[in-house]
Amino acid sequence: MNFLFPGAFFLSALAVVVVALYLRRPQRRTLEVSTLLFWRRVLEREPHRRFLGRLRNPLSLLLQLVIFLLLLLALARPEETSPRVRRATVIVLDARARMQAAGVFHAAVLAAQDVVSKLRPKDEVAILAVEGVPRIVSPFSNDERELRRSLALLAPSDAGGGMEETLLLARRLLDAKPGEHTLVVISDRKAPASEGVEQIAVGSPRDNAAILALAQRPLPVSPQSIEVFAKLANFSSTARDTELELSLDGRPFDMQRFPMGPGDERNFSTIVPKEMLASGNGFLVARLTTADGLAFDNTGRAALPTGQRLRVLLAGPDDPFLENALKADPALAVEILRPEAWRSDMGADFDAVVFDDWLPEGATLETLGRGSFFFFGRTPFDASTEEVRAAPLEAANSQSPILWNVELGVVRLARAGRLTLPDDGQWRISVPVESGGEPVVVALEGPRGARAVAVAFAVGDSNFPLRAAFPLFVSNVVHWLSARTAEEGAWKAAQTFVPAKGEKISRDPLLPGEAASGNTASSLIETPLGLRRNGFYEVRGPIRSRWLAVNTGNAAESDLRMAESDRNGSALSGSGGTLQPWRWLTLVAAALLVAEWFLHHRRVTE
Amino acid sequence: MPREDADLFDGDFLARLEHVRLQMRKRFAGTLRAERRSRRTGSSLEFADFRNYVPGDDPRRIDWSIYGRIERLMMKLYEEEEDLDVGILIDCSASMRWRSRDASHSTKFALSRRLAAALAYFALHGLDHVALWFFDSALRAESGHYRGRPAFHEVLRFLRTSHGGGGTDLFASLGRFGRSRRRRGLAIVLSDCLDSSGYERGLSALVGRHFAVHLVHVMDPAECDPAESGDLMLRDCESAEEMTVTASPGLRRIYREEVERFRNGVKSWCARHGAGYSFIIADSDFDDIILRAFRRDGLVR
Repeated sequence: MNFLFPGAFFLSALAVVVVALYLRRPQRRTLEVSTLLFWRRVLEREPHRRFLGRLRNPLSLLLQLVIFLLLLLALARPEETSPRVRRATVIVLDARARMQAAGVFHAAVLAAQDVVSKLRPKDEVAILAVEGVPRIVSPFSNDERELRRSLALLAPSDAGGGMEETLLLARRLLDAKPGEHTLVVISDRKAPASEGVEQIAVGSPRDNAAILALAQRPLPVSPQSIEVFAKLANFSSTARDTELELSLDGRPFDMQRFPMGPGDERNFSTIVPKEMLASGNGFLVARLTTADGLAFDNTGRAALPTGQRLRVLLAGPDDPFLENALKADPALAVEILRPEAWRSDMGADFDAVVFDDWLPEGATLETLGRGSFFFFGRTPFDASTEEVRAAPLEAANSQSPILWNVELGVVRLARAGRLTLPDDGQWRISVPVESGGEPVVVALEGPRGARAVAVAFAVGDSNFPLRAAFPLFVSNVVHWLSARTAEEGAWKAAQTFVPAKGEKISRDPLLPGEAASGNTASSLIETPLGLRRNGFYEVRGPIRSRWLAVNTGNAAESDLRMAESDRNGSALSGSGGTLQPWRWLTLVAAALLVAEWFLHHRRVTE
Repeated sequence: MPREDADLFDGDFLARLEHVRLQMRKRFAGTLRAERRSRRTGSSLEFADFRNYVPGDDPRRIDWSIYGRIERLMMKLYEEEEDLDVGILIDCSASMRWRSRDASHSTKFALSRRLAAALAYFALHGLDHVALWFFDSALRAESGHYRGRPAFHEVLRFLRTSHGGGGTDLFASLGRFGRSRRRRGLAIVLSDCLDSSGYERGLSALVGRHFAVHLVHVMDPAECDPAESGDLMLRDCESAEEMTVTASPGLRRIYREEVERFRNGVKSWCARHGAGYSFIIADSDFDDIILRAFRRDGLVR
């Protein structure tokens, strides 16, 4: 036997107080008698009774001292030290979006509490939640109350994803512990059997319809208008009429009804004209109005670009051709920068930066920082002074978005540099235009949505600026470069957003009412944020704000047909749920207290 | 007088008392003819003795059958039956009016008044003189002398009056009673004897003046065996003196022994001094007291 808090024994000095309080009984009952004659004779005969009488029936004092001793022992937290096998248990609790189905997560928490309640004094339990990414809800502990409190605070997220990472983490946690290991997985369906895993299934099959995806892109023929795509699915055993309502900034503008058979998927697209995007926040919300098994997937969100013009920075020597081509597009707001005023962090403040036959000294895509770049003439990919053979431009990929409506015709080059393209695998490279088989216009898409377009010849080294296709080409390039903003705005729950330098993100998404009214977010943080909830998150940059639309968008989370229940799974069965010694001591003390109270009020120990 | 007394002395009960008489341990000379034997010889039908005839004696009382046998004139003597002075002294001190809080029985004082009424009835029925007194620390009230059964209502009227309620002083009260009585007779004292200065001097004052004393010692059940236990602040109902006691079971047992010792002391004192003694618990049955206990103790026959 060992004591976790031996300092409690110092309190044993308080036993003196118990005895003193016992002897000093503050209130005597006053009783009128016919005579004191007999009492006086009694006490004269037996004077020792004056003190012994104060002890009354010593059973009362004995009981009080025993109660005190038991409480003292309980406070000292005795622990059994006999060599017994310790057991470490990790509870993996599924907190993915589909656990939001009515009653399912509550049943999962109850199942977890059931496991916790069977803890033995030496057992330890850790709780992990599966929310797309693993989350440690509670580290190893044998404090049942703390574990229960952690479980009570847990709520299912809007995230989807797999469980493998969490199981891996659970196994690693268990490997670090000596003794027996138990891994308990509580989910709405059973995973494939795995060694050493006890599974508790708590779900039940339900019918559900879902918006699996809501995407948007600028309309090619009118980049300021937006084309919206929605993908619906019916995860039901029966056919159902699905009604889809589209609203922009809280104002419905389209409603469609789709009869869908069991397991059907439907794609739907519509156009949001630029006139509707002239003002507001661009919060596009698609909603299924029919009730079903899950609520979170009945709503899809997209943050559409609104009437703000794209900010374009033109850096380089004076170039009236390029300047006028940019200004010809009313959707662009062009700022002109002389080369000596360039700073390396300016790219993040603009939707696109155009380097016109000029580059900062030693610039590469990495050193230029965050942003989208359009290189004309001098590019980071120039291979020394080697030039390509002058030949007319040819469209190598007429489907490329930067060649929409661009009729190259006969564009002749005076000279063009040879481009040496990065081959580190981080960039996806396409070549829309070639000259004599050599790439002269290259589009690159890199990590985290970075984009760049490099043109191997200067504006003045061809007759391209004289062609009607030139302003269209420039406009397409700028819109394609800035289109990443729209893509960046679409996020999935459980992804982690890392703010750039100077950026902040709202801690919580806007509530539905706030999204309609366009209120700004309340608390903003600069640290990376795991996007656990669906909704619109504000990202506030140094110059302007943008919005992230977070959706679950996961068919596995919306399909409840495979859910099953198995409450027979009794993890830690047979462990007995033994009480810790201090609780036994407290119980015995309470029982003795009741007994003492009972005897006192019947004047047995008075 | 409690209302219950009116029911107590109903026709049936009085009929049962018809044959009960006060019994005397001593004989006293009376003044009037009555039903009680006296020291004098007289004309009753109760034979007393023989003596020689002397001139002047009533020749009707010569026993001629003795003359026929021994030829001597012998006078046949009969007992003279005279009346008796019966004094009933009722303790009306505060301790006599005390009873435990939860008790349903009457107080010692109430019981004593009823017993006094019954004893007075016996005496009146025997054509004795009866007088009643209330006393506590002194004599408080005297009823005057009653004789004959019709006076019983006067007795009841007197007993209904309320007196005293102070401390107890048996010596002062009984001593004054003894000094004030010219005729000796039967003195029946109804008291709890809870006199802090002792009961002996008070009773001695009567015995010393040749009264036939009978003590009816009345005690409350809660005095003999206190039900209360625990930490108590006891207050004397007469002196208001206080005393702290922790009434444990052991102490209560010793208390009971002490009460028993006190009671035996009173009883043995009475026996030593030729006084009658009856011990009555206040919750006893009244009929039982009158028809059994008093007979057993020689107070009535």
